[in-house]
Amino acid sequence: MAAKLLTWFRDRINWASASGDWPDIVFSTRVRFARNLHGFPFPGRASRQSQAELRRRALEAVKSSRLFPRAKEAGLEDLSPLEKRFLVERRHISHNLASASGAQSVVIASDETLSAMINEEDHLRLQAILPGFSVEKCLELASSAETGLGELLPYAYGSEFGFLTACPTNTGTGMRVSCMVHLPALGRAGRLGGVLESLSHLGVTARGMYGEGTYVLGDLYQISNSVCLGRSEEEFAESVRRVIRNLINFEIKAREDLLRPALRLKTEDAVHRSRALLSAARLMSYEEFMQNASLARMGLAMGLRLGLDLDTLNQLTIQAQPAHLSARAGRELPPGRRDEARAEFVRSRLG
Amino acid sequence: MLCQDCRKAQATVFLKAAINNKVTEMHLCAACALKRSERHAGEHEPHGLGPMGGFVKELLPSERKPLACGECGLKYAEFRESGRLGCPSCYRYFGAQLRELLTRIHGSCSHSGRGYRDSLSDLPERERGEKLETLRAALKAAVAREDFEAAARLRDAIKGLDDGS
Repeated sequence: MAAKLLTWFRDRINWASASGDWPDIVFSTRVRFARNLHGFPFPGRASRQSQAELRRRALEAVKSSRLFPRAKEAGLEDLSPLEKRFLVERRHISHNLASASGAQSVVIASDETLSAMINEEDHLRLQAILPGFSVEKCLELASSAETGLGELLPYAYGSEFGFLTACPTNTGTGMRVSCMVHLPALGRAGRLGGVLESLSHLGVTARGMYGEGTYVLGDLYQISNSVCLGRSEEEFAESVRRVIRNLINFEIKAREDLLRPALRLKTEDAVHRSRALLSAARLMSYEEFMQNASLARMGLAMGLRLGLDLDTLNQLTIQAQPAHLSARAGRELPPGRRDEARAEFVRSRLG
Repeated sequence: MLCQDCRKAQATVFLKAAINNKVTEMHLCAACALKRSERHAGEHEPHGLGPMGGFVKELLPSERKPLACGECGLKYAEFRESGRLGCPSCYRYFGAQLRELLTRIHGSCSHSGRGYRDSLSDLPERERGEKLETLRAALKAAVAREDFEAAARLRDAIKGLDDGS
């Protein structure tokens, strides 16, 4: 199982391709549903036996639903630490699932746009992830899985509170819509603080790339609905969409400002320096990669000729992460060796 | 207004303004709001959990007499501590407290999204009566605040429960 898991993954990550709407600002869109089954305690309070029974039923339903064609399924107890970290980096599982010690499983559809965690904080966490600004499509994809499994499994639902979840912050629709947006110009213009602050009034939250409590890498922010009870799924999705559309406009405006005559040379200088560094460095931490890739990414969107394309940069954003580099090397790389491998890998991709 | 955490900077972030008569606002400056959201982050959650798991204790009413879930045995005090419920039936046993908490978190305590068959309605007679009572109270509240969508759904739910008996 162990070695097999990593070889199942293709090099190319579908949801990180430069496609969908606004790919030069919105990296990816994700929709997840939290669902539980009636008659089982939530995973945090369930015995190992109850968790195992729930997993058996959930996997059976996943299989007979045919919603996850040619899927990969893995029990977390069978995975090595490297494999778990790889799945976290690939956004198919949470740290929470990776560090759990019960009967946890993950199911990933072959194109990696649909996945399910079993026995995370809730019995089921269904996730759809697509490239670019694709809220509608993503909601549709996640909903099809949610509905399909709901025909086979008895979801815990009450007409007053909606879908019942382990944490009250997810009660109701159990839905989280999030977009990963790239906001380098707003940050440089010093306007980001104000913009992000205003989000809390609009029912959305901003977080770093890996979700809650994580710091911001490469000017990538995850914007998602902060509440999920009291309105319909479509209304919550629309509120996120509206905020993202505004952020896109703000970011475009800030990028235009960076290209005004007074700043243009400075901006181009910064972009080209970053671009050169990506091809010149012999040792590179992931933070440094993300910092420079961010500027290169912005430069591409500004139409500067950098001898690389957005798709390659996007793929590298995922592929240059520590566990991905170790997976590529076929063994656990120590941190120092990783920075060397990263610099080498990035050079090989960017020429 | 000053930030209620550091009491130095101006509060610019208003966390969780509640509706339905109970207003609990947290007035924070941007730095403290960020600190709080990081502190209460729970586990890093790529599937994106809400940011306020750790707020539960501050937002939940205290119990007048010891409460526990009749299904999984979770004590209300444990729930206040962890912010996590034990099983779907906890929503029934801690209904009143949850209504208050959900309103503070989400600004609402009644679901307006997709429907599904009510798994709580498959209940013994006595519990069905209690459930009906709860739903009727919720319906009344929904009508009072002119939330007609919620009212319509609650009416259907009541009808469903009534028909089943």
